[in-house]
Amino acid sequence: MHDHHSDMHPLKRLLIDILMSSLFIMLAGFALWLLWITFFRATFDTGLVTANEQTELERIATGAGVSNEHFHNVDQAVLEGAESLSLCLKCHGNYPHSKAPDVRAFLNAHAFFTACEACHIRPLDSDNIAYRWLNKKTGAELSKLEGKPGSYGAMIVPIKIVEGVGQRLDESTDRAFIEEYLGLRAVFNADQQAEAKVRIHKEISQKPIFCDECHKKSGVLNFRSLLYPPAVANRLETGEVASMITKYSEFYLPTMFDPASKVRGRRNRPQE
Amino acid sequence: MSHGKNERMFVRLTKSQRIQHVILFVSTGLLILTGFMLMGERWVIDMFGSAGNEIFYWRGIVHRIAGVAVTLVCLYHLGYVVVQEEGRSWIKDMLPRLSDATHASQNVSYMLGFREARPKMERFTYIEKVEYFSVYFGMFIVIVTGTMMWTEQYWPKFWLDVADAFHLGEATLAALAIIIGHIFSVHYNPHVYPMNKAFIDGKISESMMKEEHGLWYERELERLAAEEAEAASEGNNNA
Amino acid sequence: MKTKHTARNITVALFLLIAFFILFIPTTVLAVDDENCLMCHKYAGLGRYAKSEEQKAIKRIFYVNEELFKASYHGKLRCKSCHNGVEEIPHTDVTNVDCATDCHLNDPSTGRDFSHKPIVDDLKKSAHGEDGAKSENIEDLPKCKDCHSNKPYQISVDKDLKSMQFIKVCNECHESEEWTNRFYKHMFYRAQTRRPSKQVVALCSKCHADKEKMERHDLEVVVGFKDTFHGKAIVYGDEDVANCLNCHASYQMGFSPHRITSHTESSSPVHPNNKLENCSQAGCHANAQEAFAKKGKVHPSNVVVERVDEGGITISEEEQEFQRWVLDMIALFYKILIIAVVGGLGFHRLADLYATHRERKIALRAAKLGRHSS
Repeated sequence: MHDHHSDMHPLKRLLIDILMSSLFIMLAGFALWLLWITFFRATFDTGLVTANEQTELERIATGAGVSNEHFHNVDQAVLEGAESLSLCLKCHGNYPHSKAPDVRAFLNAHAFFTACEACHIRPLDSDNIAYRWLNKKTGAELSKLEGKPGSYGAMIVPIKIVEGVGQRLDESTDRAFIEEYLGLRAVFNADQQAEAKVRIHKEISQKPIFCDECHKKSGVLNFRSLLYPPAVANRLETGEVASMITKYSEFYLPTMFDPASKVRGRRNRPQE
Repeated sequence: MSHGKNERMFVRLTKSQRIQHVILFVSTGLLILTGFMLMGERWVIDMFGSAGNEIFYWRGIVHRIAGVAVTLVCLYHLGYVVVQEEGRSWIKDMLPRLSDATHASQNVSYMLGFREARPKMERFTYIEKVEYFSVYFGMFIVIVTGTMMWTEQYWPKFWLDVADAFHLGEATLAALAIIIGHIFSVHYNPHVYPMNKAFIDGKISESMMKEEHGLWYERELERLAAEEAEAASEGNNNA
Repeated sequence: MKTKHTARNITVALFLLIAFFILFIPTTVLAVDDENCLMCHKYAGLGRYAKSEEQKAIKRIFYVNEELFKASYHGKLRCKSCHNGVEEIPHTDVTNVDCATDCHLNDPSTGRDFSHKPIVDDLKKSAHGEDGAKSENIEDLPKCKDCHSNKPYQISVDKDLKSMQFIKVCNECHESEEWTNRFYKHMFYRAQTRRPSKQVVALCSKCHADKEKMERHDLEVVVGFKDTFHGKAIVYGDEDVANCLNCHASYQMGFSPHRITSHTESSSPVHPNNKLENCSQAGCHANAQEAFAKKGKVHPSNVVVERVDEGGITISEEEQEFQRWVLDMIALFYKILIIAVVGGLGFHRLADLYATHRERKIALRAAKLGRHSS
């Protein structure tokens, strides 16, 4: 029965077999698809709308969305700013500050290019801390600032120098514990969560470093060693930025930088 | 059932029939492809990207050209089976007979193992006859509804909806019948694998003919013997 | 006398000069960000979470990309032109932007201040506006921002030789190249591009395919457009077939998306009386005969809706139900036929394979026997 076929050169036979079987698979696949569209595919759906689902940020960033997109155009900086290896953001989100309505947006703007620990760990006077721009992905130190303000693909990271060796303060020594907690968080009850949180936040200081502790002459940060050109450094230390903060704290929010007197309702922060 | 390379071959399809078949299957293939592009999955269409618009335009053009081609070949075939000698013999052998029902039941019981041998069948088996007349039925529907949709401005919207429903249903049915009933049966048949070459060279081997068209084989042998005898007697007369 | 005249002339001249500065400086000389908003708003991370009325988190981004903004439709405006009431820092809870405000930009076509107010008024009266909508749930109605954003003119002048030459001609008379560039972009962006049909459909579907929302407003959920030829062509990227707006707000019939009305209004382009004219718009079904625009629904729906009936042109509910029934029956007929044919042919094929399998076994046995005997 197979005479023609079996008389052939093995290679030719193989080629024909491959050709015929792929053709068979294609035809059978097409036939199955036809049966699927005839009997199973939903006739009424709004595929034109639901297709191409993107995350909100992607849609905003690419401008591909139609509605709910940002009225003013938002660019890639919004996406890149949120890129961070920080474990803090896993719970606190990319816009972590939400409690103080008058400053939360400012603080969030800083969070795009500043490690949480830069403000939320208050070093002892005896500590030798250096602040450096480190690349968000590679961890390499920047040698100059390139890009739009704040969008250098890097973060200001506090580095503790002990006996000439630098240790990044934004890398928790308890990483394994935190990662394990992230997995278990959902099944923990409130008390268990609270207990874990105490350990996770043990290095976080009650009183963070405030705006006017950096934005002044010889403050916590040395803007010149943070690669800013002198004119920009001046603006940050004593110029318009600093004067805005002074005005702010004097006129609008005299109590803002004193958390003890601040009795604002603790708002529930949406979790990411 | 061995058929070697030197096996005796009989004529299964004439040149005209083969040309009609090629036009029919090329244009039907194109029609199925370009037609079901309208039912395509969204993710596939998205892969076309910015070329989608151009593809969609040519889809419509190709579908119409192939539609015209298939209509013309069908009309030609109608003339062919009425006017031409070859066509008349074709349609005469194709007409359904009572014996087809017997053959069908006998062949099915053979395939299922209830019978020793296949029934001796005619030039066209019952299944070939069903397929052939299905094409008449299907072509009538798709040509009529297709023409309606092509001249949409003259028809009420609801009629067009009806035409669309028939066109889609018939196209789905035809595509499935062609794949399962025709391609898989004729070409993916262990007897002829990898391909039934009759649609190219028009020939059928003696063994295949004996197996699948026993009655026709006997008829052909008789006819050929008669022809030979005639030729011989003519030769004698001439001499 | 002479001195008196001179004094008056000087007064007049001074007055004119002051008037000139007051009238023209704000729109021509001042930089975009003379308010220094970008001091803070240039930071990508400026933003926060807010809570919606349903207690859902909404991300609010206050970042403004200066380059994109300058290239945008509103790039010539100062922030405060729209963001009224931003006077001090922090400006928490400022009022929402009202597009009907006068912009203090001179509208060259009228000489008056430019404003979107006429459009806002139109929208108010339309099916989407609080005055024109039949529903009481006005909070669902679309606002300007639901459909529009401040995009840059997506038209490349720098790479196109023709455009460059065109602008050079403008600059022969008009001094400011920046101005001619913007004017050119404005005109040609409007002339060359429009919102792609895919986006129009997605935009309208945002509400009109939302079952709950449509139920709130006692409206038909639009679900069948995807299955129409128009819908399929749009998915492929065809921009020549009709999207929602081409029929429901056809410019050729004096409509605009802002003046959309219900299909039950006799002036609506999709009202049965106007359908034929609507379908036969230039470039579409130009030769449409009367029958074409009759007796059927352009986008089928799985619900039967109340339709206006004027002079028997449109279809009654019974007729709609009948039409659906007929179409369903055709589909059912083919489904049954397909099951029968595919099942029958499939069975025949498998049975034949079984027979071949047996034949092969017999042949093998015969061959073996033959070898033994020889």
